[in-house]
Amino acid sequence: MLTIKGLTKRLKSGERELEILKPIDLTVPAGEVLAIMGPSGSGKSTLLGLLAGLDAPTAGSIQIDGVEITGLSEDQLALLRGQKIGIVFQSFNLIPNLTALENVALPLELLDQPEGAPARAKELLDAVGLGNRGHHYPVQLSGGEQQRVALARAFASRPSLLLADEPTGNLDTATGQAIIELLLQLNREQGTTLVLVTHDPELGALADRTVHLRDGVIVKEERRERVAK
Amino acid sequence: MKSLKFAWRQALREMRRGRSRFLFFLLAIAIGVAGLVGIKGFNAAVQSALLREARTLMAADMKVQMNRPPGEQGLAHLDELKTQGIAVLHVTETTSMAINPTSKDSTLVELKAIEPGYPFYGELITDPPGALSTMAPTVPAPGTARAAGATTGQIPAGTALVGADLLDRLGLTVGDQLKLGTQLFKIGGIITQEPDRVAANFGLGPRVMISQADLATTGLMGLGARANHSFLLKLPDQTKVEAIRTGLTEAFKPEKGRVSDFREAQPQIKRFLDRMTAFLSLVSMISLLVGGLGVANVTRVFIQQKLDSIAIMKCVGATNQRVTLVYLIQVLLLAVAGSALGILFGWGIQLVLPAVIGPLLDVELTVGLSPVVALQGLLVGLLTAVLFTLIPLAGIRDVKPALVFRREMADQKGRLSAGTWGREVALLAVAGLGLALIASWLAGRFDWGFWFMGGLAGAILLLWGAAALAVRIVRRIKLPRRFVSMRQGLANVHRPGSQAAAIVLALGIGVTIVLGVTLLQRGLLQEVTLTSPAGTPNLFVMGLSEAESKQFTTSLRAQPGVESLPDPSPIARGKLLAIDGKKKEELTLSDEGERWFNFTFNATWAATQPPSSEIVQGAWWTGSIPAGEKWVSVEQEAAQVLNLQIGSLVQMEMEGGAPVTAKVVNIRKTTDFRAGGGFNFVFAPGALDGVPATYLAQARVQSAASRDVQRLIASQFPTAMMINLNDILTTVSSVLDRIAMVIRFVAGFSILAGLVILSSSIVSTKYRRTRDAVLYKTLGASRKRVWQIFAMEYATLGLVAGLVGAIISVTAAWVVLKQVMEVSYHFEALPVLIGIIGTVVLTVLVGILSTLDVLAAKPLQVLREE
Repeated sequence: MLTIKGLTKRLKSGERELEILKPIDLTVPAGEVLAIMGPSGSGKSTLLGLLAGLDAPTAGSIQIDGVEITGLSEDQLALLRGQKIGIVFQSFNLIPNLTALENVALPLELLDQPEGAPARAKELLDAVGLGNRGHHYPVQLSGGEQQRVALARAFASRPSLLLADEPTGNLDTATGQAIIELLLQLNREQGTTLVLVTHDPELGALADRTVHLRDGVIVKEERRERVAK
Repeated sequence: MKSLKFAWRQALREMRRGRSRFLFFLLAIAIGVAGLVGIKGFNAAVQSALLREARTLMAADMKVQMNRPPGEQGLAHLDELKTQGIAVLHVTETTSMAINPTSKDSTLVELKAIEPGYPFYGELITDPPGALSTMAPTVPAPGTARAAGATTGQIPAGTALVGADLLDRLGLTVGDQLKLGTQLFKIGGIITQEPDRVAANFGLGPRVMISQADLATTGLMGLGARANHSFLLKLPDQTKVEAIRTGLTEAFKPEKGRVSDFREAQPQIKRFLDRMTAFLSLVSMISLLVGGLGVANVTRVFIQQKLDSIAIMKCVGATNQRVTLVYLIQVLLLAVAGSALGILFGWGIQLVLPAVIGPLLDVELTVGLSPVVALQGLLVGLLTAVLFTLIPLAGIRDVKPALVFRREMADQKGRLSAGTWGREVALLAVAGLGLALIASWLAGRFDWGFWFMGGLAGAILLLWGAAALAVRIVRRIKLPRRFVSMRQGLANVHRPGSQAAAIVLALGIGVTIVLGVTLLQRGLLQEVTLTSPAGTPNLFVMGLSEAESKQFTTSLRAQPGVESLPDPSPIARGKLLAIDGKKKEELTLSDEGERWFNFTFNATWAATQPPSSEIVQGAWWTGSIPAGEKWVSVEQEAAQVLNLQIGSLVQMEMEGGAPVTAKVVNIRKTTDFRAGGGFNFVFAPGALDGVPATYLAQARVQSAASRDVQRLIASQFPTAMMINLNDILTTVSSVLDRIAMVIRFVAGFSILAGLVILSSSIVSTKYRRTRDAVLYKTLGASRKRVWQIFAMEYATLGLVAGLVGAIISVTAAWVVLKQVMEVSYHFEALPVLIGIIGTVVLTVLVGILSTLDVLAAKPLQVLREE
C-alpha cells in the first residue's frame, strides 16, 4: 500500500541546515494500522506531512498504491489526496462557513460526485453519531463533535489511506477515547490503511504496529496482534 | 463544467456568512458605477431628446448658416428652390444694445429677426399667448399638439418679443417701449419657448425678437455690424435632402455657408455634449478606480482571512484552479450586485444632474434607465472588480495546504518570493492595460484613455510616495508625554500592518481633484477680475462713426466718474489675402496658420505705440513714413503663426475698400490683453486711408458712476454696442461656476469612494482595535479617552490626506495656470484651508462611525474570549 524509501527532509533554519528526517525506509501493507510515535521534534509530523503530499521531501521516494508521489505537481497531489487520502488533523480544520454536512460532503463534491454526496455525508454523520447536527456550523459544535465531523469528512471519499495527526491532541481524555474508537471502527469497516501520529502511548497500543522516531530516525519498531472485538 | 458547478456552490456557501466586508465591496463598486451611469444616462437622455425633437430644435428640415450677408448667387439659388415648393425663411441674429427709453438703462441683447412663418417646426410660445398670431398658422410638426400661446406667423411691425430676463434687467413690463438702435418698439410679449434655442444660457444677453422687415429700420446692420444669417428650409419631399444640401453648399460657397439638416440633431450641442460626457466619464472613472483600490483591499483582507479554508480545501483534494474559481465567482457575484446597486444610484443621479447642470441646456428630458447605459455600467463594474482583484486572487496559489497541518511546518504564510514579484508586476501591467482600455472606451477615444491612465498612474505614484513619506514623518513626531491621546493616536497611524498609506492615497485622490478643480476655476476667474488693474478700461463701446467717436470723447470728458479715456481706436475689418505675394495654397503653413486665412480681423491704425505692448523686433514708427510705403506692426503670436518677419509683405482685403499691402516693420508683444490692445495688425497712419472704419471707444468708469455713464452713452449712441466688462464677467463666471460644479459633483464620488475605503480598512482591523480599546480601558482609560485616541488617529490620516491633496492640487493649478495657460497664479489660502479641514472632519466622522461598536466593547467579555 505504502512504500517509503530513503525519505529525507532537510530544512534551512537561518544559517544552518536541520536534518528533520534522516533517510527512512518503511512499508505499510494495505489495511494495517500504523502508529508513529516519538517526542516532539522527532520528525513524526513532518513524515506524515510528506506522506500527505503537503510538502516535498529533500530526497527519497514515496509510493502510494504503486504511484510515486514525490514528483507530482501541487495540483496532481491535490487530486491524489481527493481520491486516495483522508486526513484528520489535530485542530479539526473544518471550514467555518460550511455546515457539518457540507464539510463532510466537500471531498465528494471535489471528486465531482455531488449527486450522492448529501446521502453519503448523512450516512457518515449518522455513523459518528451526529446525524441530527448536520445543519450546524463548526462554531456551534464542541471540540469532540468537530473532530467527529472531521473523521466523517476524512472517510467520505472512501480513501485507501487515512492519515491522522494527533487526532486526540486537542481533546480531553474521555472524548479522545471515543474518537479513537470511532476511528478504528471506521477503519475496520472500510478496510482503510491507517497511519496515525501520536505521542500518546495508549493510542499507540491500539495499532497493529508502532514505529518510534527520534531525531529523524526510526529507533524502535513494535508489532502486535490486534485484539479482535 | 462540473468544476464550475462545484465552485459556484462553494462560492454561494462561503458568502452566506460574509458580513460587512461584502457591503464595502458592493459600495466601492457601486459608487464608481453610479457616477458613470449617471453621466452616460444623462447624455443618452439629452441625445435622444435632441434626436426626437430634431426638426423642432432646428425649426426646419435644413438650414444654411453664414456669418456675413448672403450674396447674389446664394439668394438666386434660394429663389430657385422656392419655385420647387421649398419654403425658405431668412433669420438674422446679432448682438446689440436694448435701451429702456425712459430710464435710459441699457443691456446687451441677442437680437433675432424672423420672417413670417417662423418656425417651420416646433412652437414659439409667448406670454400673453397667441396675441401675435396675425397670419394663418403653418402646419404643426407631425405629432406635435399646438400648445396654448403658440405662435407662428408674423411679429407685427413695431413689436418686439423679449425674454423675461430682459424685463428684469431694464425694469420694463409687457406693453412698454423698448429702443433698439434708432427705433422704438412695443414689447408685445415674453418668449417662454423658442424651438431652436437650446443652449440658451451660453448667450451674451437676453433674447429680443423682431421682424426681419423692422431690423432694416433700426440702423443696427450698418458698417462693421456682425450678424449671423441663416436660411431655414422646409422640404416637401424629404428624399431629396442630399441633393439640396449639395446645391446649397455650392451656392453659398463665397460666404462659407454651413449646411446642416435635422438628422444631425444639433451638431454643435451634440459635440459639446459628447466632449463633456467623455471628460466627465473620465472624472467618474477616477472614483471607479478609487473604488477598485477599495475592492482590491477588501479582497486581499478577505483572502487573508480565508487562508485556512483555502488550505483545507487543498488538503481534501481541491486544485488551485478550483479554489481560485470559488473566490473569483464570489468577486463576480459581488461585482454584479455592486454594479446593479450602482446602476440604481446612477439612475438617481440622472434625476439630480439636470438640476446641477441647470439651465445650461434647455431641452425637455425624459430620464429613464437606458439598457445600453446600464449594460455599460455593469460591464465596467465587472471589469474593474476583476482587474483589481487579479493580484489578491493570484495569491491563492501561494497558500500551501501544509498551512493547516502543522503551523511550524509552513512558514510560507503571507510572504512573497521572487517568483511572485514577477507575477505581480505582470498582473499589474495587465490591470493597467485593461483599465486604460476601459478609459478609452468610456471616453470614446483611444489617446484620451491612455493619456488619462498614464497621468493617473503618475498621480497615484506621486500620491503614494507622498502618503508613505507623510506616514514616516508622523512616526518621527515626538509629542510630550502629557498628550497621551495624541501620542497613542499617532502611534496607531504607523503601527505595523497599518493601512495608513493606502487610506491617505484613497482620500488624497478625491481631495486633489475636487480642490484642484476649485482652484483652477477660481484662478481663471481671478485672472479676469483681479486684473482689471486701475486705469485699464472696463467699458467698451463699438460701432461708432468717426464723428460719434469725437462726440464720445467730448461727452465723457464732461461726465463725472470717468477715470481714464483713451482715444478711440479706428477699426477696419479685413481678411488675409497673401503674404509676400503668395496665396494660402502657395505658403507652407500650419493648420492654424491656414485657418487664419479664413478669419476676419479687426485691424486698426495708430501713430503711437499701443499701451501694454512691447516691441520684440524692429522699432515703432516715429516721424514721417516715406511716401508710397505702407507699414504694419504685427502681434508676436500672429507673426509666429503666419511666419512673418520684419520686411514681410502682408496683403489684406479690407471690407468696403481696396486690398492693402503693407510691410511688416516691427513685431509687438501684447503684455495685457485687457488694456484693449491686442490687435493683431496695427497699421501706420495713412496705410488704411480710404478704408471705411468704425471706432472702438474705451473708458475706465468708477462702478458708482457706471449706470449714469451707460445711460448717457445709450441715449447718445443708440446704434453702438456697449459692453460692460462686469456684465461679461458675471456671465463667464456663472458658466464657469456651473461647469466646475458639475465636475466637483462627479469628482465628489471619488471622495465618497475614499471614505468607503477608510471605513472598510477600519472594520478590517476591528479585532485589533477592539483589543486596543479594551486594553486601554483595563489600564484605566475612560471611554472618552479611548474615543480621543481613535479620533486622533483618524484626524491625523485626514490631515495628511488633506495636506498631500492640497499640495498636489495647488502645484497642479499653478502648472496649468502659469505654465499651460500662461496666466498669473495667486495662491488662495481659504479654499485650500476649507479643503483640508473638510477632509479632516469627514475622516474623523466616518472613522468614528466605523468604530462605534469597538468603543462599546466591554473589557471582560473581550479578554475572556482570548
